[in-house]
Amino acid sequence: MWSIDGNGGLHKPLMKVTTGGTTGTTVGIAGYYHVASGLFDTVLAIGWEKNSESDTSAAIITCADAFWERPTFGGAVAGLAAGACGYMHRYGITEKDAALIAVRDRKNALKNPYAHLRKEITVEDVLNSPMLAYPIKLLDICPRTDGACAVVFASESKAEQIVDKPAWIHQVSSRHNYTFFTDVERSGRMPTLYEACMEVYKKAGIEDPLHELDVVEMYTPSSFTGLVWIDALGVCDEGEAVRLVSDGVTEMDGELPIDPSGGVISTNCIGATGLIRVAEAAMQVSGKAGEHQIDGAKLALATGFGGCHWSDVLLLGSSKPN
Amino acid sequence: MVSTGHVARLIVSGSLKANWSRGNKMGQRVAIVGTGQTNHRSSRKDVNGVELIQEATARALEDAGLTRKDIDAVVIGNMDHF
Repeated sequence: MWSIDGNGGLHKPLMKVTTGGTTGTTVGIAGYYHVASGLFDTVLAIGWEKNSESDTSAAIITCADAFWERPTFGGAVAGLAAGACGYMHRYGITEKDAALIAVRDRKNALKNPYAHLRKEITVEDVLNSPMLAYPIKLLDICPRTDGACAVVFASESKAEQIVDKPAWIHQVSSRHNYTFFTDVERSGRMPTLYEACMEVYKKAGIEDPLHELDVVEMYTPSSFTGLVWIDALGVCDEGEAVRLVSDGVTEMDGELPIDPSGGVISTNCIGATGLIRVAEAAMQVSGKAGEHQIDGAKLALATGFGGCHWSDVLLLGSSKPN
Repeated sequence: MVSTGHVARLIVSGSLKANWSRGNKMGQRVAIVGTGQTNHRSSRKDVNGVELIQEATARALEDAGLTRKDIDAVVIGNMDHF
């Protein structure tokens, strides 16, 4: 492959994975499966994107049905805007409620030296930023970023020789369901994320995710999804996410911190974005997250979003899985 | 008459069911031992795609205390044209 000089894969088995926005988390899950299968002891997983040399919306619009979908679901923002309208109608949330997510993530990004957008913003700044597609404004949406992320996976026998505190993969799950934008149910609990989370919790024996999870690195392409998809993590009743956020539950010092890295709203190099969630979750349970470390984090959830509301979920822990 | 393809499918679906009922017990345990990220910017004119990949890769290997020789296989992904 053309990137061999950069990825070091000369004369080694190499696989490319591409699943839209979930690419990074799918790369992570593929890296995990490569090692779990017993075929390899050490696997390097890489996600990357040079967004400055591409046109995301022009590419995404080619996924839409030419006759029915392109006029309304053109590009990356429109589908998220349709969803945001659905959430506002169904749960009575406001643009101000959603803005809290952008404010939280951009504040967290100040503590992450690798983050792209590192400037504190206020709710007023979000509400006054230029409208892209109602109700999503410029500061509600993720940026486009040049960046890459790499993660080294190792088998049990090697991992403990390589580092003192490996970040163990406890469970993974994928839900890639829909094909067309108009097939997606947008006003309720995000179905693929909810089902993937439930599978992971069931297999890992987690009954109370709000208290058992220590931190979540959540793939939130906009402030509205960052708010409403908290429901889909199964940490509150449907429609209760606003209460959790306004009570500070998802802040760095809250019961369940979300996106201590600054999240997707601060950094979005598409093929890397999901893998950054996985890397950040690993850093948290290994105690290597630096200034944005959540003290004593033992169990971390990383999520990926892409395509037509697809989801990947990975659960990582500081202790070995059963 | 049952074709060999049918038999293969039956065997595969049977083994998947067995693994599912056991939970996720198949295979070996896996851990992340190193991570690396680039300095993310809206435009990294100082590097091309290969160099961007190399920057993150080198940092992940350094974090794990490994070299390229220690890696058995590579999985890579991006969204072309995004």
